[in-house]
Amino acid sequence: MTDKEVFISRLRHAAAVRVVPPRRALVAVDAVPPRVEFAIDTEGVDVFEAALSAVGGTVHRAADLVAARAVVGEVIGTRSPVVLGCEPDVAALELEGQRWPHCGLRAAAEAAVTVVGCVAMVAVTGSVVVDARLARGRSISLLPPVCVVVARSSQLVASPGDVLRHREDFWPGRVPSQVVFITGPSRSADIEMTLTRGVHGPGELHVVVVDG
Amino acid sequence: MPDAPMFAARAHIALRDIRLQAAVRNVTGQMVDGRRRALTDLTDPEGVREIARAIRYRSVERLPDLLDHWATNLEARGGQVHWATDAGEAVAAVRGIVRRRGARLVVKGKSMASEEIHLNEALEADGVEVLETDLGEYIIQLAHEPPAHIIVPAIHKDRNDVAALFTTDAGRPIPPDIPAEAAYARARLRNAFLTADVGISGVNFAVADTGSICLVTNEGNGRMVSSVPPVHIAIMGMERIVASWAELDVMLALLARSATGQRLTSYTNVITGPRQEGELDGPEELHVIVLDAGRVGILGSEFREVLDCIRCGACLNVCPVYRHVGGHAYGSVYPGPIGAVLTPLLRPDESESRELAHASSLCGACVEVCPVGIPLVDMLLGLRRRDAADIGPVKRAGFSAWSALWSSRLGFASTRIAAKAVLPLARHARGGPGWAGAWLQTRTLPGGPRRRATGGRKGRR
Repeated sequence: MTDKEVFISRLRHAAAVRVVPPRRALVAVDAVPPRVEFAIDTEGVDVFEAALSAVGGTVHRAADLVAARAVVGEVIGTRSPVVLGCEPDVAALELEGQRWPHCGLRAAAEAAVTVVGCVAMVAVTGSVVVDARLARGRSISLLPPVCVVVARSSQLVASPGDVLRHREDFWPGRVPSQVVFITGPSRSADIEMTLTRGVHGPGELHVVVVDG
Repeated sequence: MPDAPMFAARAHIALRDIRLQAAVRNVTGQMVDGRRRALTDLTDPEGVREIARAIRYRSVERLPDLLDHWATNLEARGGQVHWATDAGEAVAAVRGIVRRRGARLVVKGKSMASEEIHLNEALEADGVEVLETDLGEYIIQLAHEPPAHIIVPAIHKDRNDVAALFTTDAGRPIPPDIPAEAAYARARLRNAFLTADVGISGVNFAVADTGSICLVTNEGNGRMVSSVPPVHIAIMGMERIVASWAELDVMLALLARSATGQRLTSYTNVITGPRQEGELDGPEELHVIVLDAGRVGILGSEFREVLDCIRCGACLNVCPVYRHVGGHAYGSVYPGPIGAVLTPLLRPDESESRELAHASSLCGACVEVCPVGIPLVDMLLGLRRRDAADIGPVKRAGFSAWSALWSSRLGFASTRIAAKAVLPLARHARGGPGWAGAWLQTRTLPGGPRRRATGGRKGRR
């Protein structure tokens, strides 16, 4: 028997020794449990903005990519170096900076600002969802102290379940090796419960929501 | 209570530590408020908790099948699963990987399971440098202390303590200013992330249908250790699994809300294998250590619902005992009500861990807040009952006599009269020798009824 078979057969044996019913009756739950319903608003960019602002992120609106370019330029200001993600909407902004992934991990680690795309925005939580698919990478949205995410208003969903329960819509066939719900800047309250931003991940998170 | 009450001794030290008292009160108070607020987001928080409870119960019920399915899926994605029946096997698995890679530097995210197996000591004995990267964990690593809270490990340290530790670490003065302290930790650990050979993390949930693991963090160190070094090792208690992403959705709706009052933590990270073909970064190797270490004994027992726990820490924050003595008094990896139940079950042979079942007032606040409805009070009573099976003939005879006496009306009345006479004297026994003195140490006796009760009517008006 393999280690796995030995381990699992021990569990089967232990569980079978004595079948203990729950102390209180369980509610009947289907294989797919019911959706989580929210008492708060779940629709619209305003809801997303309120949720993200509440956790210290900043939302900017742009009517089109031209306006987005101006907004992102303003956020970047004089900060450099800038590393740019490989998503088409980021490329379309035609910003000055090093291109991920060609610039390499070190460049991402030394960048002052990163500009990336996303898979979805989640209204209730104020999250942006990024993934490691192909060239998108795991580290680019993590290493620099300032992260700018370019999103489309059409990418907005109501709740985390709209992504988690519709995996096939976002990643047909197979999920990437990493999917991250980013909900605000990196934070810690480990010293005296006092909120500190940017402990390891970005201390500033900007989401530029482009109409369309 | 055992004759050598180690918990009581540690609790005494904690109760005299005014700063610890204030810190624990502050942190737990904020978390209790945060949780209450966050749950109002949900239309039917009680309903969601019931669903979560059913999901966790069924997951543990189907544990062999779910683990099998999960492991098959993870292996299909290039991940490697190591099955560890005890702490020794888990440590050996990690050491094997670390040696094979010739690793010199290991960076760690927060992992309670790794605390269970005392991993750091083992790796350090091999000459490997191990750095905790969670800010709170880094602080207590420098202080050479175990975590004092599941979520906030350095709950007992204030900015002055941290400044002193960081100043020694840095070899230059770090001021007692929280942003400056966080900035120091960021800079100190950043280079470690980039040069580490291996990253180690815990696991919040495994998800069977894709072979994924989910990591929930706020600082980003969990993403760092799982993304930047060439090898990622995740250590997981074997019961931490759900069947599907839909079930994960329900659990995530409760985890952060119950733990810190957040809707989601800053980073909720679902990892499915090491770097895949065509992906441009991420670790070359992903290993998951599945840890039994005493859990199998709980599986077929009356305590099996304790395995439903999702480690949110909500039960610690509301516990009057925890709020007074903090985490270290428990002397165990898991403190608070969950620790008082889990520790004696995971370590049944240690008499010291068994006394933890008595570190509770049985008020039931923990049961009220548990997102998966673990009947912690019933379990504490169950553990006490189990211990009572071997209290010895003298105590047994005493309790039998007491029980017989109070079974009759006359007997009960006679003890009331006796109590009136004895209670005022008994208070002087506090701190005295023997079990009576010890018992009275933590209890206040009433002075006996001053006057006869006059019935309920008068007070009504």
